[in-house]
Parts: sequence; structure tokens; C-alpha cells
Amino acid sequence: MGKKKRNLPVVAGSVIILFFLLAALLAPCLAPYDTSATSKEVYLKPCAEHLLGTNDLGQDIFSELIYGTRVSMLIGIFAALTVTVVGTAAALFSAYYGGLVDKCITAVTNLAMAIPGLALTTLLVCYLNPGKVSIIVAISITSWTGTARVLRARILSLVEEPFVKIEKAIGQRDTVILFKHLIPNVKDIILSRGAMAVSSAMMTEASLSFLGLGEFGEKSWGSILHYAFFRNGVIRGFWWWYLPPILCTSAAVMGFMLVGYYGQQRR
Amino acid sequence: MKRILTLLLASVMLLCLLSGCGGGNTGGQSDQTPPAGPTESDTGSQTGGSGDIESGLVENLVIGTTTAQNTFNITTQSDIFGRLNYNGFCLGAWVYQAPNGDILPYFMTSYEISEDGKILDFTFPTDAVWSDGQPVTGEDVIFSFDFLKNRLKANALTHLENCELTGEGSCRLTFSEPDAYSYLAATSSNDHGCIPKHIWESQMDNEDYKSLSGGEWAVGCGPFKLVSYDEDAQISQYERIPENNYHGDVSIKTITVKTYADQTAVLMAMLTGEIDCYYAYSSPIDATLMDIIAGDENIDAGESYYAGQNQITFGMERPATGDRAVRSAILQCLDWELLANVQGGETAEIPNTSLLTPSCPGFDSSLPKFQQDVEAAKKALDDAGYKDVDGDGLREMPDGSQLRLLVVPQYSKTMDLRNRIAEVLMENMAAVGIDSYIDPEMIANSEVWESNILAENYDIAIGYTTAGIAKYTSAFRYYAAEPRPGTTRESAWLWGSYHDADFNAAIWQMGTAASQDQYLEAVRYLQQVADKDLIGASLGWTKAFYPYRTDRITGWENLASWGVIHSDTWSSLRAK
Repeated sequence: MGKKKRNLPVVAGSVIILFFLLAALLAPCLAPYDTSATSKEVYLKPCAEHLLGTNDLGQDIFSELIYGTRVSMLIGIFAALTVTVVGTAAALFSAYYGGLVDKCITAVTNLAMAIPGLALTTLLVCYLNPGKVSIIVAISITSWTGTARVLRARILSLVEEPFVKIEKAIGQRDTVILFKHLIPNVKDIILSRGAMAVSSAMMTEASLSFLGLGEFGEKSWGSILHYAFFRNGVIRGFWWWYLPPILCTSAAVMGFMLVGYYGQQRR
Repeated sequence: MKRILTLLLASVMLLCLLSGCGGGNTGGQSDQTPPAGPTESDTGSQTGGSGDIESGLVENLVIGTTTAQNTFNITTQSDIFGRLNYNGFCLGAWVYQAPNGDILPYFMTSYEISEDGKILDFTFPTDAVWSDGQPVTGEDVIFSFDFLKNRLKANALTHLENCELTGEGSCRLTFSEPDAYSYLAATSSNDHGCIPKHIWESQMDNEDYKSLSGGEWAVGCGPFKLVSYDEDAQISQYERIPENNYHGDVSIKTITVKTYADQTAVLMAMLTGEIDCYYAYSSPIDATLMDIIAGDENIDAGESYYAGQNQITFGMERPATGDRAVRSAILQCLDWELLANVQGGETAEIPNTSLLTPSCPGFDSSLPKFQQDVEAAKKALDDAGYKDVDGDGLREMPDGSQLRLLVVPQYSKTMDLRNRIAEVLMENMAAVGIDSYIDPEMIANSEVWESNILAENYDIAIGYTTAGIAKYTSAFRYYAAEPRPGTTRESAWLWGSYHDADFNAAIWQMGTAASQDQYLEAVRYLQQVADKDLIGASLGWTKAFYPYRTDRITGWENLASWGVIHSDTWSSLRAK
């Protein structure tokens, strides 16, 4: 019997995700300084005491980066969870019941897809109070459509399969068909869409925080970048301030995309 | 052969392209043109015949800014057109303020205030012209005050009772209160000036008059007139009107104003010689960017003390901050060095207790500067009974109830700096056991912020005083809690919470002073109160940077916290 071939991109993605998850969970142990602690030592270059230097308030950037992982992961995962649940529910009802329900849900999906996502999310965050919950809600409202559309297409073909028709014919309850027969058959797609949704939500969170729409005092990757730009960090050559959050965001997004994209490919 | 022909063709195309890049730089800029008026060519010989001026005439002064160019309306302060009119640019401003605070004649060629401060007699030029070529008449002057009081609703003209011509080129304003000096003081760095009756009399009932822009709405009687503007390119061009030489012969032939996306772009443009100077009202170049131009010997940084400032205001009626011991402890626990650095980089200084900045008129330099003393702050809180009763590391009120201070940074579109200041304040207070918080809705919504400030719902408010306000009514204007006598609580900016009658009277005395001496007397008293009662504090004395190039033009005068563009500039500059 031959060895099972590993899906390398998924493994790599998982390792990256695990790395950031651990950083988020162990932030209090890993961060050498309190992120809110200010000091007179502003704009320090990377040194032994401050691995990534200090910002304009003398705060340790390395500690900010570690705690920023928490915010990014938290928002990414919760927003993705909401997006996936909403998207899946919409797809299930739309494809299974068809008729007017399908028309209504499809119309809403088409309408929502026509609106530029980031623009609407920004508008919603401005309207709601700044904060993690607002960002999660705003992302969820605008990002469920992709999942809904992909799943609907798959479920539409599934409901035409004999095993679903037989269940319907013997009078099986809809909830049983939906949750016991249809969802298990699209779980790969749900999981991969979920992983992609995390990366998308993390990017959106970073964008919103970069625009200054994050919570006051919150240390997220986007907010670190926001203040690095506000203090002209790029033109002043403070690479240790603006580069790490960019790299972290890119790496985390790549991790989830690897899992999401390659996870749904059949071997 | 084919190859040679191709090469020749390519060379010709390249030459055409290069010549196209070099020329025609004004093409497309004049998509809007105001009515024709006197031009340089037909009035150039009427400049008063100053040979010096003509020989040193600056052909074209290029001003760089970050302020938008979408509105060109002589009656408003909007955009760079309105902001340049603070300097008697296209607007024939009544007066202007000298660097020492004196109010000097401009369109008003002379003025006199009666002893009771209620009558203002002034003269005005009879040979001034509007930029559309019409002569400026006494009727225009009368109409201007009517428009300013009844259409523009200028607060400083609330008590204006009568305006009448007293002869050719002379006029009298009569106030019911002694407001004559305060009106001139208020308008000396503001946008009040002569408005053309033949254009604006039709707009007396138009509440939307501020939206009018360009063309006839930009017509003024200042030393310059709008020639063209391009909203897409954010460039406008102006030409001098030699007759309107209120402050000496106009020594700049044309002016180009270019708006850039941000201050970095402005500095880059200055480095390449694309612009001669930077101007933006109350927005000096960020100290952190000055390294960009540091090595260029042809650029002067234009450094001066900035009159504006960020300041904190204590909630004087609140349970904790109403106690002087708490206010004192808070001021002692703050990291003043860091606060100054956060606002103005290494050039910023720790402030004193005067609540003013050194370039404000009447500033008292004898008052002590703040310094951090965390242990003294802790002891002061202990002595006053604010102790950590439940052992959570945070202090409680003397009666055992929760001590938690509401910090409210002033809302604005770009409030990063005040949020950063708030972070420092809150962290410093936490270090001595004072808990504090920010209401997210207050920093996200201007109406929520202002309604809370007006209701005195704050323990520590972080506010900002612009350079213009600082030089006239000073930061104390934002500490007023009682309305000016004779007005209602609906008056603007009652953001203070100290209801002491003498204190509030002194604030309004600044605004209604009949002379500079009276004004300075009020300022001195207010600084003493600030020092004694610790009602708030300046958060740092920063430097203003308004850089300018020195290789092409001479005669620059850098006005503290204002920069090199002011009322004197139009006549003081000379080409090198």
C-alpha cells in the first residue's frame, strides 16, 4: 500500500495558521511589554530591548504586533463564522425550496454583490460605533454573498440526486434532509469558503483599521500600520514600524488562502 | 533602409513628445474665468511709478498648499481662496494685525475709536477698484456692513446700530456696546472686508449664498484678482491690481496657487523648486517631515512658535475633577516630555501653567512650567482621600465610590493626534491609579461629541485652539462656560465648565476690549486664574514650520505661527 500523498499547500497553510493562532493565544506570555505602556524612548530602532523598536509613544512595536494577532484572528474567525453560517443558510433555503424563496434570496444576493464590499463595510463601520463587534457585523453583512452563490449552485445539483428525491418521497422532514444529507455533502466547500472568508475578513479589518476606523487604543495590525503612516513612517524610513504588520497580514492571509483554495481541490 | 527610416521617425516623434512636455503649461488651467477687469497690461503704468517695485517685481509667486480649491467666494472662508483672504488677498480686508498685535490700516486707510468704544470712524480709498473694473464706492462700504451683519450674521457686529458715510471716503460705525475695538481685533485676522454691492445685493435673501463660486462671486477689491482656476488640477492663478495698494505698492505680478495631496508632496515640490512657499491656515508642516528639506540651503524652514495648541479642560463641576487636588495630581503625573514630543517632535517644549503659548499677545513667561512627578501625584491623591480601597490597583473616591474619568478628545475629521494624546494621558493616569475611559460614540460623531461637551459631560476634554483664535481670543475662549452678557446659551463654543463670574467676565472682556491695554489686562488675569485654579493646561508648545525658498525671491517675513504669506507679503517681496 503506497503512502498517502500529502497536500503540501494545505500543510503549509495550516502551519502558518497554527503559528498565528499560538501567537494570539500566548500573547500575554510572548509580549515583552504592556502594549499601552508609553515611554520617552520614541522611534527607537530595533535593538535587544525592543526587537522591533518603538513607536511615536515609545510603545514596544513587537508587543503590539503580537497582541495585534489576537485582534486580527478574532475578527477574521468570527466574521468568517458569521459569513459562512449566513451564506450557507441562504444557499440551503434558496436551492432546496426553490420558487419564490429562491428568487428572493437570489435577488438579494445579486443586489448585495453589486455593491462594492469594502465601500459598504466602511460606510457601515462609520455608521456603527467603532469596535470589534461593529467590524464583524459590517464584514458579515457584506461578505456572505460569495459563499451563498457557490453553495447554492452545488446544492441545486444535489437536490436532483436520487438520494434526496427518495428522502423527499418517503416524507422525510426538511430539516433532516438539509442538515443530515445536504450539508455533509458540501462540507468541503463550506470549510474552504470559511477559510477564504477568514483571510478576506482579516484583510478588511486591516484596511478598516488602517483607515482609522478601528477601536480606540486597539492594537491591531491595521492600526499599527495606520499610525506608522500617520507619523510618516514610510518617508522617514521606519521600516521596523510599517513592514512587520504588512508581512504578518500577508502571511496570515496566505495561510488561510492556501487552506481554503487547495483544501477544496480533490486529489 | 527601412530600419533607418524607422529610427528617423522614432527620433522625430521623441522630439515632438519632449517639446510637448516642456511647453503649454498653462493649457487647460483656465476653464473658469471671472469677469474681465483691469489687467496688468492696461494698468501697469498706474502703479505709482515706483521704480524699485518694477525692477524687483516678482513675476510669479507660486504658493503650495494642502487646502482644497473648489470654492471661490469672496464672502466665505472656504477652501484656499477663503483662507488666503485672511491676508487681504482678493478681499479688501478692513485692517490687518501686525506681528506685535497692533491693528494696522488696510482697506480702512485710517481709523479712530471714540473714548466710550462705541463709535468707529474710518477712512477708505476713493480710487480702489473691484476686480471686474468697477470703482469701489461708499455705497459698497455701507452695503458691506449690512451684508456682514444681516446676511453673514457676524457675531462681532451684533451690537452694530448704524453705519453712515461722513464724507467722501469716510464712514462711521455706531455700536450700542463698546465693541468698536473688539470688532477690529476680531476681523484683523479674519475675512471681513469690502463686498461689491452690484454683485451681492441680489443675494441678501439667499441662505445658500456660500455655495456660489467662481466668476462674479470671486470679485473683490484686494490687491489681487482671480484670473483662472482649474478644480481638476487644483490650480488657480491671480494677477495684481496695482490700484489696490493698501499696504504699499504690490510687488508681485502674478500668483499661482497649487494644492497638493499632502504635506509630503508639498515638501517634494519645494525641493524641486516647483513652489516658492507653503501656506495653509493653522496647518504648519508636521515637524516629523522637516527632515525632507533639511539639507537644502535654499530653503528656510520658516520656524516659529506656534500660537495654536492642544489643551485639556477639566470638568470643574464633576465629582473628581471638581477637586483641585485631583486636577493637580493629574497634571503632576503626566509625562510632559512625551506629550510635547508627540505633538511637535524634538522641537516642542513643555508648557507653563499660563494656558497660552509664547507667541500669544500678553503671554506670561514668569509662570512655572509643568514637570512630571509621579510620586508627588500619588501622595497628593492619598492625602486628598482618593485611595485604593478594594485593592484592584485603582483608586476610589473618598466616599468609596468608583473613580473613573471620562476623557473626551475633540471630534474632528482627522483626530489621530488627539487620540494619541488621550492614550498618553490615560496611561499616565493609570500609573497613579486613576481609571479612565473613552466613549467611542463621542469620538465617532461630531454631534454626540458637542452635545456632551456643551452639557459639561466630561472629566477631561482634549481640545484644539487654532492659530487664528489663539492670537485673538486665545485658548481661554474655549474655557467659557457662561455666555457673553446680552447673549444666550445658544452662543457658540461654550465648552468650558468653570462658572466663576470673574473668570467668564474676563474672557468676554478680551473680546470686547476697547483697547489693547484692556485686552492685555484680561489676558494677564486669566493666566493667573489658570495657574491658581488649574482649570486646564496647554499640552505642549510646538513650533510652526512654514518653509519657503530663498533662492529666487527676497523680502520674506515669517510671521509667528502664520508663515510667510500674510498681508505684508504682497508688497514686501522682491525678485532676486
